[in-house]
Amino acid sequence: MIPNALVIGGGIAGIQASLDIADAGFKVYLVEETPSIGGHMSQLDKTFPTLDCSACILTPKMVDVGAHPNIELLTYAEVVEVDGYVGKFQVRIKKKPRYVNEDKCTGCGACVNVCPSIVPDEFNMGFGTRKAIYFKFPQAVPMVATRDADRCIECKLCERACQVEAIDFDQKEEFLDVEVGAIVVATGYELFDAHRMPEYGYGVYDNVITGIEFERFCSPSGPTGGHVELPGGVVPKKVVLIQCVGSRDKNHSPYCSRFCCMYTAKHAHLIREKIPDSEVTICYMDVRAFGKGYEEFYERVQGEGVLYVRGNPSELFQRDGMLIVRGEDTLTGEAYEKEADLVILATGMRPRADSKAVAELLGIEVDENGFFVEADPQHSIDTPREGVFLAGCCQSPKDIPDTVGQASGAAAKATILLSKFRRVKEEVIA
Amino acid sequence: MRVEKSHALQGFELLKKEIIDTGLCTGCGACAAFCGRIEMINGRPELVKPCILEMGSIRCGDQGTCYDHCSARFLPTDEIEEEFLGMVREDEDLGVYRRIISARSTNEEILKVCQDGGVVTALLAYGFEKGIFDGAVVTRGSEKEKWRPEPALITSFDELMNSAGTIYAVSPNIEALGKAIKETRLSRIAVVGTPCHTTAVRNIQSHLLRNIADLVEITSIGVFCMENFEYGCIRSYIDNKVLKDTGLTFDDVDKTAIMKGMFFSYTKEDVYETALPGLHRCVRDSCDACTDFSAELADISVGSVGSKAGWSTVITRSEKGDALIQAMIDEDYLDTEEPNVKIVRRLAKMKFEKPVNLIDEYAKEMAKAMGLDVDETS
Repeated sequence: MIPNALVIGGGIAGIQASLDIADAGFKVYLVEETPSIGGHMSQLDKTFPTLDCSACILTPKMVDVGAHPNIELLTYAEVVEVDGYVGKFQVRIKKKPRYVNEDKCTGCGACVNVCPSIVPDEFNMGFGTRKAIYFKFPQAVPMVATRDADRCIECKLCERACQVEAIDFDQKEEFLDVEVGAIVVATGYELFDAHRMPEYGYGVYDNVITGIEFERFCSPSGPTGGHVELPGGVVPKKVVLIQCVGSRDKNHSPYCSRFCCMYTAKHAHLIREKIPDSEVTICYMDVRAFGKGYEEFYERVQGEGVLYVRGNPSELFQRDGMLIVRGEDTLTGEAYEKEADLVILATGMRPRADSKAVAELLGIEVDENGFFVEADPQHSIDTPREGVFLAGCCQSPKDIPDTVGQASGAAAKATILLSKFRRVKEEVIA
Repeated sequence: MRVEKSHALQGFELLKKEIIDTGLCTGCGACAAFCGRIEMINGRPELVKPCILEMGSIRCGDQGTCYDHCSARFLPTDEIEEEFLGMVREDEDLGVYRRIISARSTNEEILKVCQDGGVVTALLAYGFEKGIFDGAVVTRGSEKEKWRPEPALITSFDELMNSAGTIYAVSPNIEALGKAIKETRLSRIAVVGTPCHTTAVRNIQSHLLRNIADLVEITSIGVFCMENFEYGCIRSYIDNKVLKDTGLTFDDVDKTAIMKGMFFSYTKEDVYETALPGLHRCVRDSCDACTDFSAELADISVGSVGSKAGWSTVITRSEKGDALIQAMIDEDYLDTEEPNVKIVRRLAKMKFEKPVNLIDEYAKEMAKAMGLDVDETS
């Protein structure tokens, strides 16, 4: 038994699992494919139902991961091979070249300032810009710059500007072989691509955005500094939020994504709070406010003057510069056309595009929707492969509290396994 | 709300459409100097990898770093003069200047290898000696063909002695400036070049290098230029016409010079003269559009016109350039005398007013002007 664990994915699930395993005294290799840990949660402004600042909860945990003596953080890296068996997995990790020496970089940002290449910022969903050498976001862990070679002209000004000589244009892909006793899979999810429902005009009308894009507008570190604005700085007054975009839809995902009802209620609350004279309508099929404090939050939002209209709209178009949402109120049976200057689509969760390949790599399976299969419905953490555990949305859609709970569970399972080694070792010594 | 690429043409596409395809490209190498996706191939820039604007970047510099730096694009001359020369021109012919003198190096070693008064060579030697420059971008002959110009980065007096003298052909010097900054990581660089090179230097300083202005200081030394030749063309002309039946080639020529409308090729024994109009088909297209004779944006401009044989005319333009020349005079690195400013002005005017596409006529005019006015102009 190797007393180390591998955690794949550095979102809130991977972060929580890593911290718990590491706190139990075992070494953790945390592998994250992007330049920073944090995952989707780092893009959020507030969390429901408490309206806590998302970054205020997440970033201390991120910093803990970065500083934990038992965690070896491997960002901008991928697991490419897994061999062996429970207690003794051989894992090969590919470290992509970030062209910046992680040990030398101080995160000062001098390289970013001098870079001439402007790129749409993925973190801000294309609503802001970054440079070709960049930090994923201001609170990134590790606070190390990454050079995007495809969008770099190689003027090497970053190299000149860097005082600690951390920039390394010759950096190559590296492979790291490690042995671990247990693996926690926390690879997360993707958001449904709203382009796939052309009836809602996403990508056609600038004022039709998705929920995650709205999160960036609300975030003080976002492209508008936390102001909800339309192009030209106009404040929206009539906002329609549409739920179940891509979820509970046989043409797309048949399942419920389990977080859109609540994040839509949160968005409605934020709009009413930021723009008190706004008219906010939520189009819903059902409202599933199932978690602790959720029903109460749903009621609170209704009390704040948010109008819930049952039935999802059939189409969305533009007339006289305003968006028109057309649908049928299924409670009254009446057809309606509603004006809006901002429409927010509550896109659901999808399994990651690479979930099948990852499952194959790990020797586990995906279900009919593409999420990883648990051992049985009562044991959502275990997989049929011993020593491989699931945490978070790679197993099924869930919200942050459930994700964190499952992650701690996966960490406990992994720790139980790893501690058998310690016990055996102590017995031998005795 | 969503950031998108501007619909206006930018980057290499703009450079190609506005500069390269129209024949305005001077071959200075400024576009390739800081972009690893552009290479100078046969004196012209070509994309060797896709432009980043095709790879997802929405902007590079202002209108594309390659275009921003281009020596042939529209130039906000007033702003550049204000920023780099400290004042805006009052003299339309000669640009901003602080003083115009005739000068000659006092160093015998330099005078043996130099073109005229050896001022440029003396300047660089002085700069190296006093630690004012830690490198200089110059043109020198290639190893195989000594009159094929190559940009070179030199850092010592010995290297300087190997690159003294004028080569009359277009050279992508600014590429070597890129190398000096990116690879050799020099901080105080002198750039010797024609007026187009000088313009490129100012464009680079006012765009990309603005971000690291405190790390890299450039002194621009411009040389007078009426027009410049394509090496391949001039080589074949010299080999096949001028040196025909002599058994010699251009490589056997020890020195070339343009004086009084003639192109002189000196070998050990002989001097071969060629009337300039014969060489006019070798003039780079972009020279037709250029109106800058005296490298008006340089810190110091140097040329033979306006001085007698063995002397160079020196125009100091920026405070920095003027102080440098003053120091050299004070420390006896230069001898000075009065120049003939009138002829410098006349040539500057002529270049400004030259009728485009009437290049032969203009060349005859130039020959006449030079022949008539000054007996010993070199």
